[in-house]
Amino acid sequence: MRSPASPHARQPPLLLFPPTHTHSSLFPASHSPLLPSPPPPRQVVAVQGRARSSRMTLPHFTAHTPMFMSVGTQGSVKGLTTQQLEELDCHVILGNTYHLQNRPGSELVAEMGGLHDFINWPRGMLTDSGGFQMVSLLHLAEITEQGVTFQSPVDGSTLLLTPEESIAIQNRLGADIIMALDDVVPTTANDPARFEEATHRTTRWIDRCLAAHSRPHEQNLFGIVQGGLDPRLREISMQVGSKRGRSGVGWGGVGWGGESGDDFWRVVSQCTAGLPAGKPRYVMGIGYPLDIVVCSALGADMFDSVYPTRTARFGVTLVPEGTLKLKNSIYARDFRPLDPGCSCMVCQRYSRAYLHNVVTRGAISSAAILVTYHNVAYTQSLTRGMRQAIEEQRFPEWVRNYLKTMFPKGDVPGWVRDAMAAADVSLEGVVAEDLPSPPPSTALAAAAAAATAAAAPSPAPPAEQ
Amino acid sequence: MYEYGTRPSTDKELHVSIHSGGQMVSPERFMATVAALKPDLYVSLCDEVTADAKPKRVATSTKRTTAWLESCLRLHGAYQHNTNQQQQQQQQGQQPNQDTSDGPATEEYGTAAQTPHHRAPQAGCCSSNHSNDNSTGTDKGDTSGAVNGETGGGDGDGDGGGGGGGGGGGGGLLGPLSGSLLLAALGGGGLVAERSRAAAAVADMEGVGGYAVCGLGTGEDPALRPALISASLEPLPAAALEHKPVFTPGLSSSPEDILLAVGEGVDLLDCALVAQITAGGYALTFPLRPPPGGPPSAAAENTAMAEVGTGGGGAGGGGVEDVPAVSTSAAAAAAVSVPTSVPAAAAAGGVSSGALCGSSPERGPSPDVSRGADDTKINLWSTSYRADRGPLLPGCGCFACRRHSRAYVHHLLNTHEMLGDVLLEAHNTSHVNAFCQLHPT
Repeated sequence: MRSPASPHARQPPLLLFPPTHTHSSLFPASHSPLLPSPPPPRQVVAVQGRARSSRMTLPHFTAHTPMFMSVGTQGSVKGLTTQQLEELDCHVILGNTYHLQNRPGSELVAEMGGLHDFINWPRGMLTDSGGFQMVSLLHLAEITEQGVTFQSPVDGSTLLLTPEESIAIQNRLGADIIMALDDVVPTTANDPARFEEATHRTTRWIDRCLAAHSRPHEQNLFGIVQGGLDPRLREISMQVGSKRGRSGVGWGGVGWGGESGDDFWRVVSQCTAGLPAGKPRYVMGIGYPLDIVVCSALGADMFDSVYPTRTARFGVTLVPEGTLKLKNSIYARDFRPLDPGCSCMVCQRYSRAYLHNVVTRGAISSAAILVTYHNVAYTQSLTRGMRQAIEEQRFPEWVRNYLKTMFPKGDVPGWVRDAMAAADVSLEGVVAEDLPSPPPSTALAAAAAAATAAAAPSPAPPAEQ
Repeated sequence: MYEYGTRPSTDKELHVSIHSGGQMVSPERFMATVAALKPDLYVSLCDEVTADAKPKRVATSTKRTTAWLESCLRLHGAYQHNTNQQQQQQQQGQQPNQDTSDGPATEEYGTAAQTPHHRAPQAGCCSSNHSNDNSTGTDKGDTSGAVNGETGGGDGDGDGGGGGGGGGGGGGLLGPLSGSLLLAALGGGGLVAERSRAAAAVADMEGVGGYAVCGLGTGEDPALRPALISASLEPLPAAALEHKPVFTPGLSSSPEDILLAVGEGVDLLDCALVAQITAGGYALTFPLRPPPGGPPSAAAENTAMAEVGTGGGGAGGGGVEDVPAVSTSAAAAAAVSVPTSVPAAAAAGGVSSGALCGSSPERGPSPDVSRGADDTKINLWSTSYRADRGPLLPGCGCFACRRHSRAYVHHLLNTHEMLGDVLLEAHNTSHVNAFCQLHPT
């Protein structure tokens, strides 16, 4: 990927991944633009309120939703073997297009039989478009209509990622679900014009992605809804997007810790309400268990985040009550398992005291791996619990139990209460009676509340100024 | 056991450096710690010196180690019955069973029933003899016998639900070290005469469960090693050596080391080899058995080494790669009794004898320096593995070789993913284990 000329000379950016013979000979493009990518066969098993439990048949596996997808950025969910991921009943994991193209390269992965074979993962795989790196590496990136120009963090060379190339790479990687390249703007950016531009550009880019997609019957192409926190832009993005034949829809730009809980759930609610019920709804970058529960209640199906695995490497354990920070000395003589209610291998074999000891010793891999293993087990058990509850028509009760465990004093955050009201999930007996429901925090949120009220089946809280 | 630090060891206490700093450890403190850990085997407190220590220093270390061994043996006997707390009470001249604690500890959570159940007791092990040392609750009081103020055997009982041996401590019941084997430390540095003398001093001691030949692998000439080991073992009663294990710490940085030690009668070695190999990104590939027809002659070996790898399995070929025979030194080869025929298919871990035997007629490829390999291992950092779909070692039945490719491991190393080390360590551990298991008895 290194530019042959002097890195200091001004020159047009090197095309990151110029169309190669390898690509076209492996997957000859033989269709016209805007041909719909058929949605994966999907069976809704049960619905309760806005939540739904479904089975989504992907080329490699039939995944159950709501589902949480662990992230194997560089072809590995850090520290865990693919056999462990199967043991933990993960259905779909993620690979990252940008990083995998850097190392080992999508051509090599194709040579190895695709990402599944390369890493020996037999179940579902999803690759993102590389768009998120635009935001996380923003100070190194320049976005134009053509695509995104990066400066490679590895060797400083200039690289360009276009919608066509993103799809080409993902075609080579061979995941069951691939994502269209979107123009990502972080929701915390205070530039309405930029959001507007991004909304429309994302639409133009989805068209280019669909045109470039050379394996529509083996890989499901999901589009992405943009718009930041502005419900108007989100609405536009959803409307124009729905005219495209996307297999499913994802939306990002939320849950990164920038926006408030209030803004967060309203965007999610607007999207789940406004997107067709027949296609999977994927909230990208959601990993806090509470957020997963709220989004599922509002009708989302798929989630991914590095949070459970990353936080594990810092000794933070996910449990029904919240988190345990294992480095804390209070665990030094706590001989209970991480989560007494968890049946995973780590909780069967190790105590908090032991793990505290290993975690505080410094960078010892076994600590990271053991806590990671449990955290993944926890996210799977969380989503499995929700699916079962929906199927058995006791989802609101499940939610109440979950919130009671996490907020034993009844101090459920206002935004959660509002979201559950919008999701038609009663929190009776959970919430401390004397805490008032706070008004929406911003004008945008108030407008969103109005939009949601129009779409949602249940009355939204009053929009006070 | 290098003597730097402000306080050297004395006749009464050993100076050790641990992660929290330097500590002085008396036999009493040592044994209290051992009793808390409840190992199956342990080495007695040893004033270990390096192979280049001067004779006077070596003599001092022998004197101390022998004296400490006597103390450890005495305490080992006491811990057959006494709990740590009782032991401390006796040392302080208190009445047995007197409760000196301040009451139940408030910072401790979980009971034996709640503690995760550990692996099942191994056959023949002393685990069935472990008692529930919950006699007087947690000891938060004087813990002078324990390292770092940790309490003794009373708390943190990790035995799960084992109810054997009755509850509580009290005279006559099973103590924390009942069933543990004390391995007598045999020192003597790099001096044959000192080693003999040290071993002779131990020869008649009662209660010794085995022997630890300490201080090797600290810079002595490898050619002298057999003589040093032999000097440590020769004075010991033959009947004892028949039934008791011999352990040599620090002597396994290569398969040749292992063969040499086993040839001299060693039973147990701690294996630093796996961690070192894995840290370098290597996968062990040395054959687990010599080829049929006995070990190669020196001349044939030199010829083989001179050949540049022309045999199969080039870069990225992905097929079975011929593994060269292990190049043992002549001395080691002579010391080890090697069968002249390949044993029937090894049952250990699905290892297939052919590929791991070096038995193929073409002897190549020889150590390929350009790929960072030698005749015992390959280096997965080498770009030659970038597209190699074969396993780390063809024919190996370990987890990593069954499930993953060289290309994937190479990629994991490049991207600094933990899983790379996990897979290499799984393979290397399996390989060394198979090497030891396949060894003829």
